[in-house]
Amino acid sequence: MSKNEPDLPELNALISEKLSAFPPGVMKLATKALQLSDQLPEQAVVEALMGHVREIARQQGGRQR
Amino acid sequence: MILHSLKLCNFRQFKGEQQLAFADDDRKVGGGGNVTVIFGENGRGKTGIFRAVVFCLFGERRLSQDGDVPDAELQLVNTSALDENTGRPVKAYVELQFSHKEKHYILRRTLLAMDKNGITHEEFTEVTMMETRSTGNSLAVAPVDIDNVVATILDRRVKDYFLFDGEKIERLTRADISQRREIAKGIKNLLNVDALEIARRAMDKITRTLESDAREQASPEIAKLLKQRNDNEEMQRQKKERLEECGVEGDRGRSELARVDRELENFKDIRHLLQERKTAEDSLAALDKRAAEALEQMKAYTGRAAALLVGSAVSAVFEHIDARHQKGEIPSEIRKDLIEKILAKRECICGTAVCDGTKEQRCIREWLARTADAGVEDAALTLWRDLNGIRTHFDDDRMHVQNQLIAFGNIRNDLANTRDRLSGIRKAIGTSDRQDASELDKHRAQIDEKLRKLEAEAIVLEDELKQLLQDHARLSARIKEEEVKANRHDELSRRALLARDTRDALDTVYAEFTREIRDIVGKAATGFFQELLDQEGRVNLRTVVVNDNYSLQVLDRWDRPFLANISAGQRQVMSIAFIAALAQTAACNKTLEMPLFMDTPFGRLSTEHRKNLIRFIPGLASQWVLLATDTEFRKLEARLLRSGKRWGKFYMLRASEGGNTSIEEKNVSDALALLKEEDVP
Amino acid sequence: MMKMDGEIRVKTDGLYGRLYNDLKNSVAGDFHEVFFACACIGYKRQQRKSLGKHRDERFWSKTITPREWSCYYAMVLADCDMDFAVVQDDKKVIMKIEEYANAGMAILIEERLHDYLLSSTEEPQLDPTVSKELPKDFLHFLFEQEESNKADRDP
Repeated sequence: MSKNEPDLPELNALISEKLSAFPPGVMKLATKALQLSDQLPEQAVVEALMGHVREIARQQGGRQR
Repeated sequence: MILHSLKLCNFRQFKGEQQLAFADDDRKVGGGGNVTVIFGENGRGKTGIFRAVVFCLFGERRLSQDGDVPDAELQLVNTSALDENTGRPVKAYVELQFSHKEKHYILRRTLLAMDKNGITHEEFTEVTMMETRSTGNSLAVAPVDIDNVVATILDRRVKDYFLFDGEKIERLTRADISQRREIAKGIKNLLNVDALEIARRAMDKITRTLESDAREQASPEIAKLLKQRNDNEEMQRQKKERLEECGVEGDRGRSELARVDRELENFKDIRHLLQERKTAEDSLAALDKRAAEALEQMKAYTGRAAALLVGSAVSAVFEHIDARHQKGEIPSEIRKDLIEKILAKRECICGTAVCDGTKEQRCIREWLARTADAGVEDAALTLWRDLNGIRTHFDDDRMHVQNQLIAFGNIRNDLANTRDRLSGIRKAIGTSDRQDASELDKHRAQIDEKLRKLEAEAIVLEDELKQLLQDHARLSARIKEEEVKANRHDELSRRALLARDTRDALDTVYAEFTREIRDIVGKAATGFFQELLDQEGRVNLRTVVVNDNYSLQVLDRWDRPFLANISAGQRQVMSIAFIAALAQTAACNKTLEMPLFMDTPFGRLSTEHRKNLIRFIPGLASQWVLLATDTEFRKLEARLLRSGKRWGKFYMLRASEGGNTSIEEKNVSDALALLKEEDVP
Repeated sequence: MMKMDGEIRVKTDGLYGRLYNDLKNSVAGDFHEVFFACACIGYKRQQRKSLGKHRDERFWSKTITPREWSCYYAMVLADCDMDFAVVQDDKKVIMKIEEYANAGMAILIEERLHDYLLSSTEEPQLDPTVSKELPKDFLHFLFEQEESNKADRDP
């Protein structure tokens, strides 16, 4: 293969790495959103994510209290 | 995706059922290999095989290289089979066996055709797909889901990147704006960017819904601020959309401009003439206008010019009256009626008698003769004044008329010269085709104007967006402040905040990721390009750049855009380098399981480019299928391909009865004996 | 006496009805101007021509400008040895000028307008397709007459 071959990180790993810079709740929800988007159409993603938003927000609230 | 076999039945030149297997064992060098060569002279059905694969996978009867060929001429069912079955239906099908991500698929598309009154009617009748998992379980994919399953394996929008005509692939570098947008979508899918886009949009919807719910429960102040922020975001969306439209319109305009410029290139030799013609036509119009104005002025001068003709009478009468005036006869010192009274009374006003025949009477009678009526005197004096006015202007009038005639003569000379010049230019411009160039020039000016307006609009939009972003940041800070004040951390607002933060995070990641991925693809493409280029190309061409819209540019060694100047062969090589880079990036630096299916792979390539491709592609692609003619695949290419030890299958397309083609498998080791020597230069 | 009477119907030969109209549009602004130009040409050539049996009342004398009147008076006075009695009656003055104008029109047709006339009509009529530059040619014709006058004056 080419000796000029660039160093290519894995695409999803690249996205995950970027998301890790955000607060855990945000990272968790964004990762979930990406996983769902890989398999479902947009509206289905919206519906499926609502539950995750509730759950993560509740967990965050619990931690805050 | 790994292709295993292709079965054809009554499809194009292939009468009856025929099949071929693809070299699909790339697990080790020296194994079955991953290169398949399907060799045939022109017209033997290489493109028929290419068409069969595209038809089977996507149900498309047209290939991108079909251009303007009408559908009616793209008959898929074998003509001999139809001739033998006049009035009866003929069944044709293509069956492709392939695997993808541990699943094995058998996809078959069937069509029926019948000849009726010399017209062939074809219709698709059936598509079936069997999916077998690694566990050995098989299931039939529902017909409605088949297209979706194929799309997840090979996106229709990027199929041209993997199944292509080598001579046409360079078109990717010339794609128009709408094609480019479709290609960009396909590339995003391939690179997983579209999942990120869906996630962004979904999270945006959720954010808006949750914020709307939260607003209802918030204090009036917070609700007001939330509403303002929502409106601000809506405005931002609109502005961004318009900005994107401006970009698209701008791209379209620029590509149209480039097209017009290319067309104008054909008229390069007459461009200066077109400019001259325009100048001459403008002068002609201006001169015509001046001539019309001059003629109008002349019309107003006919009276004065005519008066010059009676100048002698005017002068004579004036001089006559003037002389009498000088002599004091007009106006007379003694009025005529007084003289007549003296003569009638025979007595002067001094009391002296004026008797008939006396010297006094004679003197008075002479006076009478010289004296005119008071009315005549007045009229004569008026005429004397008027005629004086007229005659004193004679010289001016004469000069004016003369000047007008000279000026008009000059205009007419200019007109004649300009007409001569124009006719000379028109003769030099020649045919009407060439005259079309002026229309093109006009069109070009309009596009140019539109582009300037779009640029101006984009600047305004960007300023507005900047302002909206500042307002947005201010509003967000105020909302946070108010929420802290109100000690607001109810669950609804927490959800809304989480959704918003996640959406913003995805936005940030998207922006960074797409930029980085373009850089990665660009770097990889540059590497491959350097591998594939010939010596001369390597010296001149340095970097492949992937633009925002996934169009390509190549920079020369001074980092100047050079795409417009490279050869068709270099374009082909660049396109392949880009495809290779995309495949590698999409496969996360491994070999993407996607075949490169190339019709006429080397037609436009120099020997050095061919050598590089043969050396390079088998290691890059999971499979390489070459549909080659005798002029591009010769002993030289075969030797090189054999030396790479990945050439697994070799088929020859042979003419058979009735203009049909039969597929014959040959040993790779026998290939050299069957192929032509390379041309001696 | 030389009142510049505005109540006179100035007549022209019926033959030139159409041409007066055409010339009014083409080389001058109004009938009195065309009439004046023709009268000046007739006078310049010292030619008068009685109007035919069929004559048109072409325009009212009130449209004649004082300048034109003065020229008419001068033409008549110069012709009759400065006898002011001749110009006492404006009608008579106009009648005499009508004859000059009639002759002038004939000269104009003969010497200049023939190229501009439609050949198919009995009544002289301008061919609009070739008359674009007639104002210039008309002015030039007048100027030529004047130049010949000058030549007469400066032998």
